[in-house]
Amino acid sequence: MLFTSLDFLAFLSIVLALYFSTPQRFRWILLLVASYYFYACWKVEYVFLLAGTTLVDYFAGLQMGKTEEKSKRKKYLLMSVFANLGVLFAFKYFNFFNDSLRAAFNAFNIFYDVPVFHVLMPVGLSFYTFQALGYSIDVYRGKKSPEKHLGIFALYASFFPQLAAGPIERSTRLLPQFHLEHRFDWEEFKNGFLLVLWGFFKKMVIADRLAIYVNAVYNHPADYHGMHVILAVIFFAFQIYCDFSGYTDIAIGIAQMLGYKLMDNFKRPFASHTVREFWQRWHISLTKWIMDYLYYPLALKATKKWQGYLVTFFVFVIIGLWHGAAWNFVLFGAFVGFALVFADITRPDRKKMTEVLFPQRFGILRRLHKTLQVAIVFSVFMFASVLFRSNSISDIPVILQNMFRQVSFSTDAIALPNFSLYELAIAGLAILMLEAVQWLQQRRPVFQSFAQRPLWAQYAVSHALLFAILMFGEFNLKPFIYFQF
Amino acid sequence: MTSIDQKSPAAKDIENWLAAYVAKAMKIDLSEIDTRKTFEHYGMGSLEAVSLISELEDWLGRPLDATLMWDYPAIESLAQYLTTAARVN
Repeated sequence: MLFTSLDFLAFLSIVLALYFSTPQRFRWILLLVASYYFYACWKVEYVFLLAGTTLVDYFAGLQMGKTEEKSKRKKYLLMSVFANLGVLFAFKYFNFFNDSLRAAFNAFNIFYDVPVFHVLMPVGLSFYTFQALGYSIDVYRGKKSPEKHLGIFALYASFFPQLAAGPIERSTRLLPQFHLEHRFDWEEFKNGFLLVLWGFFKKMVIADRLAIYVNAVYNHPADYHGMHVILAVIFFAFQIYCDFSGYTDIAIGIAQMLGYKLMDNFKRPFASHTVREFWQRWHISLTKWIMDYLYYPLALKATKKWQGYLVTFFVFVIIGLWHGAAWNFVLFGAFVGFALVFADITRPDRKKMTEVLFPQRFGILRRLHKTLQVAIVFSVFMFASVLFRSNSISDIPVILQNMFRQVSFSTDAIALPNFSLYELAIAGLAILMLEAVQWLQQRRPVFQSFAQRPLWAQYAVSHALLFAILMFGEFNLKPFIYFQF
Repeated sequence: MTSIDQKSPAAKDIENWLAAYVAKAMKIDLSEIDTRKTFEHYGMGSLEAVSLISELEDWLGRPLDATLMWDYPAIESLAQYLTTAARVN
């Protein structure tokens, strides 16, 4: 059930109506049934997978809570780790490693006959396994006491607003909320509703519109050059941002309407001044998860700087691989890891160069420097996104080379047969509106204070957004990009 | 340095600890540490942040999120958060 489908809107309306008319002590049942129904709509069989890993994690958490002995706790932690990572490996990575091994063996004419595992990866698998693992690790570390209520724990593992594509919540933040009483709050409901509308705008007006242009070029990279490729690369950066952050806004908004608070997942990443800052603003829940549960324990063991750099590189290769079981994602992660290490190594020299070229005591030079930093980080992201979006490794050099071939600014060189100048104008205006709203949000909490505005302003804004979605939205039900991860 | 006389003693202690740690780790004179400037301003990268969090956990005697310094990127804001979080807990 896609968020942008009529089925989902009907489902959500029913859940919201029933939720606030159900006594507090039974609400977890309603949300749990709704969440499992939501997941079953993708594929019924995967509900059993979700239930299975949930039971393992619940049991492991309880057993860890019964003993202070580290070795015994570790046994149950490993049970949870193997169950979750085992399922993730089987459904997401088995075929990738299997195919890679087959290619390697074939290159040396060695017989290799391990069959392919023909199964579709369950939606949200990468997200809910990480969320569940985070719980197990927190219980092991003593940061969280085990959840004794199986129903509440099952709800934490399957909460429908964030089940398919995050944010990857922490047990210390989300689990306690399921135990609290949530009275209907009309202001929170309206604020959440606005965020949902904004998410739909980002997804349907910006992301799905840009996808038409991006897909045309990336699916046939040899047929395009110059401005077509340049625009496709720029558009993909905004497409993936609007697609994923749009989904996140819808998830956070729905949870808010129900009275729950999910973590922010994006904080204007394209305004970052360094690559490190970018990763603190992009898909925040994943990066924080990786930092807390993978980078931190590994980095503590590093005694030399080069070991720390190796950990950084390795961690970002894992982040790349998390996104997809394909070599271009590995390359994407490796590139980002390299960029971070390079930035760290060159920081002292770059700081000296900045002091010479952009003396900070001159306001205009300071602002110019900051603008240049943002432009460089965006360029690095765009290059990384070529690795990310390309359909195969062999497409990457084609796209990069064709970007600089026969660059022209004529209409034919910019527009596409299925993406006219009018479509380009709509896309451009929508992106400007996106930047304007984000700029405003940084200065005052637009989404958090919407319900406190005068009634006429609330009507005007929500109706304007609805109008924009209905007039300019793409209604051909494209799945969210991050659902494939 | 900012005036920290009006803050709670706990926040002041944490600020002093953090300032001393940053000064030692980045080989800067303690008097040059401005608690409002970010850790990154003093050249602290991810690896240095990990070490700081690890030692801070030991000093405070409680587990901390490794990514605390993202949300509280300066000595002053981190100290205030840790004091508030301790009171809530």
